[in-house]
Amino acid sequence: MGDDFMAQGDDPAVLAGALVLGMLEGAELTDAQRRRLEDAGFRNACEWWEWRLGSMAEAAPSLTPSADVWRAIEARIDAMDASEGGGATPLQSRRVYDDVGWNLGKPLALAGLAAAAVAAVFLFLPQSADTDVGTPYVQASSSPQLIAQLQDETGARKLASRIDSDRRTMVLSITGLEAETGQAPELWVIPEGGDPVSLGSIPEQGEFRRVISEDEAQLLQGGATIAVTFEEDTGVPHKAPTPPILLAGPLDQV
Amino acid sequence: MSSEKERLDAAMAQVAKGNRSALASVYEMTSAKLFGTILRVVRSRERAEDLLQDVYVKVWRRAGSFDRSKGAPITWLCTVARNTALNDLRRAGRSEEITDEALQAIPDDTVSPADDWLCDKEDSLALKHCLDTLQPDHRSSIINAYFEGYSQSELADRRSVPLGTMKSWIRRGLAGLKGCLDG
Repeated sequence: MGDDFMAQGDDPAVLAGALVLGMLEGAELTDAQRRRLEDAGFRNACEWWEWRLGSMAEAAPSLTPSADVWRAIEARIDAMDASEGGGATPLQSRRVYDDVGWNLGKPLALAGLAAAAVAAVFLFLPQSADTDVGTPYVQASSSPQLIAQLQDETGARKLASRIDSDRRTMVLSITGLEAETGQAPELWVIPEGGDPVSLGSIPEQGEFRRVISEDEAQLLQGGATIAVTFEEDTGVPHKAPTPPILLAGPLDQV
Repeated sequence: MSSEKERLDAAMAQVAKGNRSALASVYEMTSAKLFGTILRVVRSRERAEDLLQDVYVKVWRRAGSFDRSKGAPITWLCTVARNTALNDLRRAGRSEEITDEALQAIPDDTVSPADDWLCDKEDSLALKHCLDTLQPDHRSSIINAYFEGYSQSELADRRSVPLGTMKSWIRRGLAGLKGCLDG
């Protein structure tokens, strides 16, 4: 097709550059993301571009944010620390904005829109009052949620995930990941600009819930990619995914 | 290396060890640059400040994954900021609060122009030189995609050219850029 970004024989590094630029869309984006997972050379090319183009970002204009931003960051980190220590302290991620009179309507409305967009197929999204933009931001269930909804081309294999990295929980809803004898589905996270890291084996079907470690929580951030492969059922996480990638998609924060 | 760069290097190393006051130093040295990067993509001050929070929480959690042998801390930080902004843009769309003209007109009277100390000048100059070797359409398309976060179809619409033409410009621009940077 004449409109394909790449023609046969083109240097794959150029496609890697387009992926890093963030300009790909639709099937071209999906294909490039899949290739980044499967192909170490392509992954290296992406990293090359990230560092090269990153020096262009340094040329962005400098603008001073309000002083409230740093206070909010400190509050969020305090809440995370408290949550790790006691396990019960709710994360009041943007409460500082409330304290200084910020308009909370927009961020909450955005979160609500994003949640609404996936709610039809994502049954375990929290049924909190976050979509009520008039409600004060004090909901105990309002810590950021990371979600991913993955599906293959036929729709037979599906995985929906909800991750609360502050509370250290991951919940998966899995459909159709039946593996051949001796193999098991394995979950991967690919942090922005990083290599795949195994999150271990997962069930072939049904709901799966487990605690995530601090290291895993650091990897499971918005913008990271979640993927599933079939791997040899050794009982231990593998170092790198084995193609083909069965499912892959981004983690979005809502 | 300037003393300021050394200070940022040292602060990043301390953040990786969980030092909160070092994170404050990193914020003090880099937040204006990162805020500018984010604001240029999402075009809303409120939203950009929200995302800036997310960036420094990520930095706090992920500083241990930063590899100084691969590049400067500010490059890594800017990349985290830009990716965070792009992800939000893809999820929630672009705000119209700040137009191109308004963005250019925002006064920057609170930040020293000597922010340059943060950058690895050699890398920046090499990239600038190579961008300058590209045809104007190719160069401007890459720059707009990078700074504004425009997709290829958005770029084609903005430039009133067929999508295939825009893809060709980007493809040829990236190929030229890679050849130059490799050379």
